[in-house]
Amino acid sequence: MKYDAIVVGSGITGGYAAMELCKKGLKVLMLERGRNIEHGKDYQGEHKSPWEFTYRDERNNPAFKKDYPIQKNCYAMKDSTRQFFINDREHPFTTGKDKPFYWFRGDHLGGRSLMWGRQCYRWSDLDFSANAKDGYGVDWPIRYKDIEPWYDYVESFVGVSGQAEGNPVLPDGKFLPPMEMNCVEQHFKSVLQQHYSDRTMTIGRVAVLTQEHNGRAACHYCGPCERGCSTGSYFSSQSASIPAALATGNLTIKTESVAEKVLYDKETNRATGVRVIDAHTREKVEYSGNLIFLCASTLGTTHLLLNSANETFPQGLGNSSGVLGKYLMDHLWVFGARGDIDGYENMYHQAHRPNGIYITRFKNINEQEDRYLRGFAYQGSASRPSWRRAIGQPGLGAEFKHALRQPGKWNMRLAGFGEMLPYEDNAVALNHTVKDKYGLPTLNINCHFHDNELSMMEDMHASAVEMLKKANASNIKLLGTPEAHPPGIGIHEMGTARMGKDPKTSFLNAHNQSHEIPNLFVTDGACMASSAVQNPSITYMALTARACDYAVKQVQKQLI
Amino acid sequence: MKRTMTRKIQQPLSEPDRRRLLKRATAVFGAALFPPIASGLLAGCSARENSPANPQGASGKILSAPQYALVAEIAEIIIPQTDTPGAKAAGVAGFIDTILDGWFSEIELTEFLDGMSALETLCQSAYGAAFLECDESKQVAVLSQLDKALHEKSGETTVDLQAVHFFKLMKQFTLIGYYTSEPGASQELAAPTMGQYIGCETFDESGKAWAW
Repeated sequence: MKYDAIVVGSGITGGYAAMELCKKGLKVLMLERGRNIEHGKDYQGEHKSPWEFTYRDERNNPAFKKDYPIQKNCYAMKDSTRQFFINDREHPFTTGKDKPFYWFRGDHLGGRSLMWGRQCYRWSDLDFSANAKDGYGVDWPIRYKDIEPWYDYVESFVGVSGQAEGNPVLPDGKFLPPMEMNCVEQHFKSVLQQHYSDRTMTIGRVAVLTQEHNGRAACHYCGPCERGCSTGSYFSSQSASIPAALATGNLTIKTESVAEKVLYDKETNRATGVRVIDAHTREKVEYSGNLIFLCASTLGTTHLLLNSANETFPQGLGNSSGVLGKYLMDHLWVFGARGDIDGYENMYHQAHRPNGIYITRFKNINEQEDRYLRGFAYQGSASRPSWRRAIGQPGLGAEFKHALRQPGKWNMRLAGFGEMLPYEDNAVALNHTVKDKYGLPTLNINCHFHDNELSMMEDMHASAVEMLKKANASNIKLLGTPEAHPPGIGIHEMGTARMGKDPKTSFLNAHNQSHEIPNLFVTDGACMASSAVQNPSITYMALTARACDYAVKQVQKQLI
Repeated sequence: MKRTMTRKIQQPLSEPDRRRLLKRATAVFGAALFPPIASGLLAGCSARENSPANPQGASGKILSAPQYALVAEIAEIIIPQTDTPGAKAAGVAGFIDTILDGWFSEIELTEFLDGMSALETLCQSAYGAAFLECDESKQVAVLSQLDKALHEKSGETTVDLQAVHFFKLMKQFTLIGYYTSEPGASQELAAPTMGQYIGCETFDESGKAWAW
């Protein structure tokens, strides 16, 4: 049969695209290369206590060195979550010499929507106009006003808790009630208010429900969302978009179906379908569709497009411009600092808040003031260490044990997210000499930080230290080094099939539609023309919903 | 002798084979492979196998019964029974054996076992007795000396570095093993609650830290 639409990928954008298209009455086929993960039932690590794991769910299980040399670098990778991470040996990729790249992947239904960080921040025109202003990258074909109603739309479905602040750098959204700051975070916020007028510290805006929302239960604050949440209290494809899509009766899901090529018909200039490889039998199957939505993750989508090269498009499907694969970005992550905060010794918390605080970007806002372009924001939290602090401390015996019964000193942690510029030489290409287990060429990734990023990292350190000093923090330590935190570590890889106004310099138009093939859409992170500093998923979802609306209207008008 | 073993286990054995060989080597040839153990630990410990410290004379996948008893005793000195269970009741020796078996590389395992021998040498030269034969005050004194050396800022210490390294690993995995065990996490500390998050709650001195 011919589907009205084929969506490749089932993660945060694939789930969203499938839901939107199904709700509009289209018969949709969702293709997922990995296995099925059933909501609730398959969340193996959920609510387990440490003693239920052989190695107590400690990080850095040495078995990971063999099977997960890349994935183990992800903060969320533990025994309790390893089922959501690919085995690196089975999913090879290569990198340029001295250009490490951390590519964190989950090949299963729901993709990384199951273990994402859930932080949701709107972009502003400071971000959408950045490329035009300093000339790095191509100008975004959209501005905040174009996406604002779609942020409203997706936030209303997703359920984002947060506090409206009225700071134009970080536009407010449709928020569920905010989570609360602990006492040291409140104190730190008041210190920042005393000393700075250029930044806002607010509670994290997070896709975790603080009240029942669209039939999903409020968070019960167990802590590690990345193990999966059977109450559906954080947004994932499994908890929200896939069930809504299935409820329409219009969705067909095929898991363990590895997309090999997007099929193309030269006569009609249309993408006609997708050829997949059955992950078990290796049998090839072709599916036909009227609309093709690629939501296979930034590098997954670009890999598929490069591998879909044909006579008409020898450099990759829809890639006459040659930009496909180029301008890969991530965020500069964790560069910041932490310090101990005196006092509040009689204060503690109850249950675990799966969220932290946010300090808005304050560099190069109105004028270019610094030696580097663009800026950064911080996320973080105040906390008291438990027993783990004892590993590096002297002492043994009853007194030592007794002293550990109470939590340690408060500390404040500020972890930065910095903007990475789009560079032509940060690029991916097919590697035909290394094949994956399906016989497909793998991806070679060449990505490194340039001078602007290295310069920004220094200020991300310095600005965090400055704020901590204002709060009289002691024992201040820097977080992050370029060596230990290479590109990819931010898990916000984006770009490589960017949006733009000019078909000669961009892959997609203002509606995430291929400049060259009108029924082909890319709505995952590959579409990004710049990276800003915000965690990108909510923007991907807004762009996806907007593109679905556009595509269906174009079909109705018989324009595609 | 040590070198011989290292060479042996570097041959391309499958993981289970390697572990089996190593365990057998430790159990059967322990005395030959670890000379200090011959003079101290094994001689001293065999008598202890059925002592209250190690009632069943338990052994592990890697640790022989005497080694298991030694690890259990050291862990208990680091985290003793007080008004809540200590390391023994929390099964820390079994956890450490699991770590030695599946977590440590062969080099790390060798370092651990060599360090264990070095500790015995230390006991012998200081007190003329094996660790488990020493009274509690001497045992605490030996471990305190290692703990002090471990945290010596100048990096200059006269204490045997292998023994210091052994103690470092013992302390690290005792702490992990104890505080992630059910008694450690839910009796000594508190297993976190679920339900409502409270960011600022008054906490008095009788209160406990969350275990995770």
